[in-house]
Amino acid sequence: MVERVSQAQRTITVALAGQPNVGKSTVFNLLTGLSQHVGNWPGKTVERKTGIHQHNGTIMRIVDLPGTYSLTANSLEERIARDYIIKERPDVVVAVADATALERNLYLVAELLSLPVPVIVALNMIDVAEQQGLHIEPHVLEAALGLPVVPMVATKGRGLTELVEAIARLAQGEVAYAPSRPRIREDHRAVLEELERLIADAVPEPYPNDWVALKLLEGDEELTRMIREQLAPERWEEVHSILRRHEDAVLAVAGGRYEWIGRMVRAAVTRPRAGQISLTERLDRVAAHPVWGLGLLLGVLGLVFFLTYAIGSPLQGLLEAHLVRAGADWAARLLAGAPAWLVGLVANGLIGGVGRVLTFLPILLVFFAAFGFLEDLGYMARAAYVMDRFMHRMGLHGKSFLPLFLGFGCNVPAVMGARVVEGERARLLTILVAPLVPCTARMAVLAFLVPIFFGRASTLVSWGLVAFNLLILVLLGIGLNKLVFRGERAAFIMELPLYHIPNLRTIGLFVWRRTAAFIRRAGTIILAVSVLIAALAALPSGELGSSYLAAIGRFLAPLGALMGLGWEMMVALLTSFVAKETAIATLGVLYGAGAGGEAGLAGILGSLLAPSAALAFLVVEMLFIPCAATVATIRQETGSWRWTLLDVALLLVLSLAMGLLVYQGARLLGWGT
Amino acid sequence: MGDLMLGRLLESLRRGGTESLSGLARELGVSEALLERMLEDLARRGYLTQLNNGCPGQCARCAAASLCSSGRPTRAWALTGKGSGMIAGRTCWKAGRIVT
Repeated sequence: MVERVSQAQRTITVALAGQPNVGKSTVFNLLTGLSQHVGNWPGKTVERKTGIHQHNGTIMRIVDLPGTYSLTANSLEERIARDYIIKERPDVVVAVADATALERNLYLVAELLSLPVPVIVALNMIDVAEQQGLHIEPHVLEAALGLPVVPMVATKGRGLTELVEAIARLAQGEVAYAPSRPRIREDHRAVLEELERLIADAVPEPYPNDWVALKLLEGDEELTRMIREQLAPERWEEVHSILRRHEDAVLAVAGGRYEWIGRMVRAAVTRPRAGQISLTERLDRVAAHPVWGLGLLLGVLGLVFFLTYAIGSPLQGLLEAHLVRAGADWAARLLAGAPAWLVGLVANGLIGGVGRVLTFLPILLVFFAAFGFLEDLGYMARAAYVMDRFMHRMGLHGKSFLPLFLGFGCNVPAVMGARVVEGERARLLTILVAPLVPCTARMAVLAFLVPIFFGRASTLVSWGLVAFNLLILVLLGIGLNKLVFRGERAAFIMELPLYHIPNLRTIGLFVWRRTAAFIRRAGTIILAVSVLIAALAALPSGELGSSYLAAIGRFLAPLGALMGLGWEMMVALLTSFVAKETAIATLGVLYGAGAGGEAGLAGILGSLLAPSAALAFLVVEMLFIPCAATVATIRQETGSWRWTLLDVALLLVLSLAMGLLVYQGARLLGWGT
Repeated sequence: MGDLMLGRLLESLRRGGTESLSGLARELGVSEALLERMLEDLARRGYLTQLNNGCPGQCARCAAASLCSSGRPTRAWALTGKGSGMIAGRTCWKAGRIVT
């Protein structure tokens, strides 16, 4: 009786292959149920799961291979999977594929097809694919691939019976198995054949000769080592010289697989081009257009400034009037009788400095909300794309500034972005110009100061200042390109995400993170600088005119005079090195919290500075030495104090020279003197 | 037709400058998903490098980490020295010169 059963029963081995997260484990569990055995692959720490499935008297021994994206020897998992298939030769390999990402999953199938085992494709998550609007014809795919394709929804157990039957039929040779295999590019076929001939006697069992030759062309280190050990030295030299001459063969091999995938997908998948995708395409005809896109970018930038001034500035004025001045009065009353230095420290240092910087909040909130909206909409990627293409057309064929724009908003990531640039010299120069990308802290200073001097022209002036910064960046870039990169070209590919309706929560989070970082800065570094400035302004006599700060200021005054700037403005510039917003805190400290009557700090500055001098100040502030955090990053990334200090000196000279030119130019034109 | 894919992809980067993923997919006549797989493959083989792929071990120490990680990350790839070498090599080969 026992004998009869064992005679009727046939045991076959089925290996499950697939990428991670395609539902391979679910398929394994469905097939094996409780009959699972979990251990390790021999000598490895990778988990090995096996189990049994019985079907019509056939015992299927199911082996769950580790999840892999391909069968190169890149990872331990990939080596285990391919070694198992080659050495154990399972009767059937089931490639579990995610139907929603068929292109990605077919690569593994393409690799499996060059091994001598029959393959079945289990097309899992077919329901999710349908929901996404992807229509896959399993029969067409089956015909194109030349092997069985079983649509499945493993989580619901759908398609399991069909899969088991397909395995049984294939193992028993009941179905025609004539897979269409990917082929190496035509111009490399002769090379492949030559290699096969040369290594024919040396390929050890059970490795297939043609597969090993293919892998050698692909540069597979493990198999290259194996063949080198097996071949006679002179024969290996022959093989090696072929491989050296055909280093690009790896592209021919992989390229053949992609071409095959493209053909399979084109045959069997229909993708409705509706909704979001076509909307994105239509919008990008303008937003990513070389000319209209640039116009749109300039318009968007102008609109952001307009909104900031229309909403943020009046609120900032209100906060200043009701918080800063009222706070200073209150502190003075509270501290009546306290020493003058203490009153000065609290009223000027704390409230005048830090308090004033905190009144930036409404401006920043509008600014951040606008950028958060644009980012979540998907527009910021287009802005970087259009800007980068523009720079390319301007003659920047050298290393592109894309990494810098991806770090737009803060110079620290912009400097770090230069890491991607290859070549020591090129990377260094990219780092050196990174501080010229306008950062949000500088934008905040701009947003505070510009309306004081330029009223209705504020949007235009801010826009012009940012454009001027970018112009300097372009000019420097062209110069560097000529001198250093010598026309060397860099190429980038970037993903432009689909547009979508911005999510309030995401924008809120974006605004909150940046605002929190700003408040932290105000509470720490700006507070420290404000107190220091207040102390320097009060010591040693309590009189500003004879203070240490005035002494420093007078030292800078001759330089300031060339730009129409008093020593207070020069001290403000100097302190902006710590953090850009500190410039305003310093002015707040110097002119006192309660000063200026109804008009506040704005009133004082408006009466003190001519528009030409104010413009010069803004130009210098925009181009000035970056903040301490950026300088520290430059030091870290260049690993050299010499280059860091050189950059600081360069930006110092550049910014002051530009400030001087702008001031003198404006005076010559008789404007705003 | 067997050519091509990866060769054509690298070839189209010869112009330099920035290409959009969707534009390049259209040009090569493949879906964006397949192009992405190809870019990842080329990056793995060292012909391209993925930008802003995080800076392993760096972000934790970086003060600007919160500024980078919010919003929607944009993926971008750059041609590496190996990649441009390959393009240059192909040019020589195409021009019938001996590649050394």
